[in-house]
Amino acid sequence: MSATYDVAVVGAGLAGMSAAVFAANRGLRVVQVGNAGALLFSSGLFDLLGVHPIEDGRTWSDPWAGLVVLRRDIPEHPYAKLEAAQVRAAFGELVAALDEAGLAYTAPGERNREVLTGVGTAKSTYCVPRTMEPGAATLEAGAPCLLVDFEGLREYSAKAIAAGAAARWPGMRTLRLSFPCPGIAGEVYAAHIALALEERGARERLADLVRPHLGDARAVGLPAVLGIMRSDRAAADLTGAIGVPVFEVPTMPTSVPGLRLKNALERAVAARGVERRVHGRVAAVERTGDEFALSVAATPTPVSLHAHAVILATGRFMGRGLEASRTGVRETLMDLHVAQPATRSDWHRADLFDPRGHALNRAGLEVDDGFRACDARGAVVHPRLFAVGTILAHHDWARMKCGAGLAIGTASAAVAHLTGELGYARGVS
Amino acid sequence: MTGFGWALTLAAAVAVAGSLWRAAGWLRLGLPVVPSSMRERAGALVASLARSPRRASAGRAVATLVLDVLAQRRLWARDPVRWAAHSLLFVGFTALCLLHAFGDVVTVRLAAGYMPTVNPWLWLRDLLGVLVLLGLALGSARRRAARGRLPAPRRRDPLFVFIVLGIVVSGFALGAIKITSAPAFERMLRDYASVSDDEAAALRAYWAAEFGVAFSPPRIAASTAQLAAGEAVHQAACAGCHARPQAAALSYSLSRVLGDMAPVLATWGAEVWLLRLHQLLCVLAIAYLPFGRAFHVVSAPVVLLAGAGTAPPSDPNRKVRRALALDACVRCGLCDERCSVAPLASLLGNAMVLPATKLDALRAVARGRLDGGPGTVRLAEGAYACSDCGRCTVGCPVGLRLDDLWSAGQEALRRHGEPPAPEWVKATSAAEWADRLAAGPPAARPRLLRYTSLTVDRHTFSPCVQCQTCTNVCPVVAHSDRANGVDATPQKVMNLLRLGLADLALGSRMVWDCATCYQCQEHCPAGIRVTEVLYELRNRGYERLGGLPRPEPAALPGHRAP
Repeated sequence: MSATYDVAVVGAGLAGMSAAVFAANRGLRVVQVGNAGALLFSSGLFDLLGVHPIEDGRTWSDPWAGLVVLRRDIPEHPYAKLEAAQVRAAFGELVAALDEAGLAYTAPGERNREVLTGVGTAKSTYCVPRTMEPGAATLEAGAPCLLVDFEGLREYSAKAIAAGAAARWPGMRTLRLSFPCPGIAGEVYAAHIALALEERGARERLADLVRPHLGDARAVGLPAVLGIMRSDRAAADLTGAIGVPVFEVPTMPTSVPGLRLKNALERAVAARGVERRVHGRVAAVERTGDEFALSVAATPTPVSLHAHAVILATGRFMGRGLEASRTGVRETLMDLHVAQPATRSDWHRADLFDPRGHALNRAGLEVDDGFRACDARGAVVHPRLFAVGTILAHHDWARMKCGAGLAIGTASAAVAHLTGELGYARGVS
Repeated sequence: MTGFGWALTLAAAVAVAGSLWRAAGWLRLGLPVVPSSMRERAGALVASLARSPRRASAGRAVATLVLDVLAQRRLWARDPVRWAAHSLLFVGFTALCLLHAFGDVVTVRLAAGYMPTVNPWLWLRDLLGVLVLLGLALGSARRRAARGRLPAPRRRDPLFVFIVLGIVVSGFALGAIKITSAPAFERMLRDYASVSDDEAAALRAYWAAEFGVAFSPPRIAASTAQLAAGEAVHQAACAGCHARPQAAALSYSLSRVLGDMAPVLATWGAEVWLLRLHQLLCVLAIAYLPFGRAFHVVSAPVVLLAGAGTAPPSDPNRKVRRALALDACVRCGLCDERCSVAPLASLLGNAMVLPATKLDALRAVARGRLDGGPGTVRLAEGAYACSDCGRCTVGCPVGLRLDDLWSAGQEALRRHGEPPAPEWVKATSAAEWADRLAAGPPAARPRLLRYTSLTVDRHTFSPCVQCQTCTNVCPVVAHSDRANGVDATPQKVMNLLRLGLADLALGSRMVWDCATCYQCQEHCPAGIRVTEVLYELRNRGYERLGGLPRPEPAALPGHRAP
């Protein structure tokens, strides 16, 4: 019989990765199962709370103030089970882990930052990659800037962004370049440009192309392509060569920042000795006595894992944690109770773009204050079976812009309760 | 000169001519990389042989001769059982040749007063014969145990072994007959001993009783006194030149088995006929030596001394060495045992995957027998299945640079219009292949199809959301330029599968250029086994496109007009 882990984290999205990092930081023996998941679809921005109430489209420059209002308005929202201090500490812990892994973010503070998006809108977000930070600063100052795009990069158009942002950011000019690297031509892909920009020579050639067009620009915006492994160095290098701050504009998924985030989190959990089972999905979870037995459908041979606790971070429909069928929404792994509209006709409102969102978006798992999964009667299913991240019910993370906060905050709370449950009290290592 | 002498001379002439013909083959044969004249190559071979003692040191050359050639240390390291069989046979037979067959020439010089009838020569000859028999027995037992795992022998391969077996068995039979032979006794008595009739009678009694000579009629119940007298005569007249026949243990035992049959055999002239047979087989062995695989006793040392593949490709000697390698291989099959891609031979049903069989086919290529027919296609399949791991070269007991031979073979095939599959596939566009598949009934070659399961199962690719991650992380896409670019990125290949247009993907550059780095599969958010799908498509493409008419050789990369 194989060794029993303290906790098995099912899922490798932001919530699963955060849970693995937090649990390992507390000295737990962690096994994590799941492939890259939806992390690759991330823009790289960490939202805490951007919009509430969504029907009014009210944005918050002080997310903490927004949280107070949110808790009062939607008491069943997962945020209502979290303390502000705990969420902030969790952000700090994760950003520190990412920093260690070579991906720098702005420190979690009091306020949201305004970031220009790849479609020309401004978005309120909480922590941003350092490579994007000069953009936020320039936008806040309203300073003139030069926005560069590349021939053949279909998902990113500087002109389209400038047209969308013209009202807020009048001093914006655009420039289209052919990326100065042989082999990157025709239909080009962001990751391939990023790979090329890991090399100093390519950065110098790019800087040489940009510099003559600088004019009065106080910053240069590029699509998020400044390297994959060492984006900080690529950004610093280009900034030095061009002479003004260079910043990244988040691109459409699947984006390079998503790739960076995935890579950095993988390094972070690996550095903490988390056992990762990337290849294969958990096919079944059984309770055997005091333990959980997880059957992992892996090739070439299935694997059986044993753990004292399980943290379910399998995401929603995209991550296949939830599955919608004609008969309703079900949780795919253990068929846990899913809070959902009574009938399928209640899933959506008449208008797809209704600002209030849809009931289906708020379907999900019910948990107690310790983020333990609950059954239909509200009773805890198992004292050490937790659920975290977007799979939870009563939120609309995409409209509220609270996805990262939800993932990081609930993961932190679940691990805290888990350590109590397991009798560990070693504190952050 | 006697008839035997003439036959021997003729056999020696045939052997010399045959050896020269084999040696000429080293210069004539070849898998060329650089054209070179016969003279250049002859010069290069001679130079490299002459250089070999000087190059490192004379000691090194001697070490090669002693350790690699005589002691067979490479074989010892690979397979001790084989080494034992090989050494028993080699040591036994070589020593018999020198000490017994050429005793009048060799042994006489080693020991003054050499006579084959005295010890140690008498018992040594018998012992050496036993060694040969043991070696043959061990070798055939091992071959039987390894049946199915060894390269199939060529028809004439066992011939030399049978000749050797015949020589040794006829030798033992001859020995046994002579021990019991009364005429032989009388001949010796007449030629070497001058004794009275009484003494001769006593000696007959003594030899009959002590050594089992079968006189006719048999002398029974000789008296003790007669035997004592016989012994005295024996000591005085015979013992000095003739050891007790019991020293030849196996021959003597055999003579006991013959027993009463001996006088009958003697009347039939068995002694003479066996001697003729024995001599005939020896003559045959000499004449046949250059034409069978036994010639490796010459070619293997030449290979070892000429040194192995350190020369640059432009060295004409390299071509010579390839020819030498083609010639020196005895299909021992040690390379097959170590071949990394050996399982492919059974999977594809193509023995050309295995080094020993492939080498045989390459010999035909070197002789210019490459017809472009099914045999050539099968050779190409075997040749390109090689993963260049080099284990065969490391495993070769003769130190052949097989890896160099394989690359030369691939080059020859390429020039002939048989490039590796990725090249002939990519010479035609994916769309054109799809059209051809749709037009012609594909010749079914369902060898690998049972291993295709992913690309026909919609559960494999239906989760694809076309997010482009696979393409983003693909180094092949990243490093392909416009002219040489992939025609369908991984995510587009997935889409083709979703649309039921797998045939459009079979000939695509993406499928054939995939480096199987697994980046796409590692990154796929939907958990799709992208790399494995691409790989399976390549296998499907190999099966199905390979069944279609091939492109004209002239249109293929690497082709040279003959």
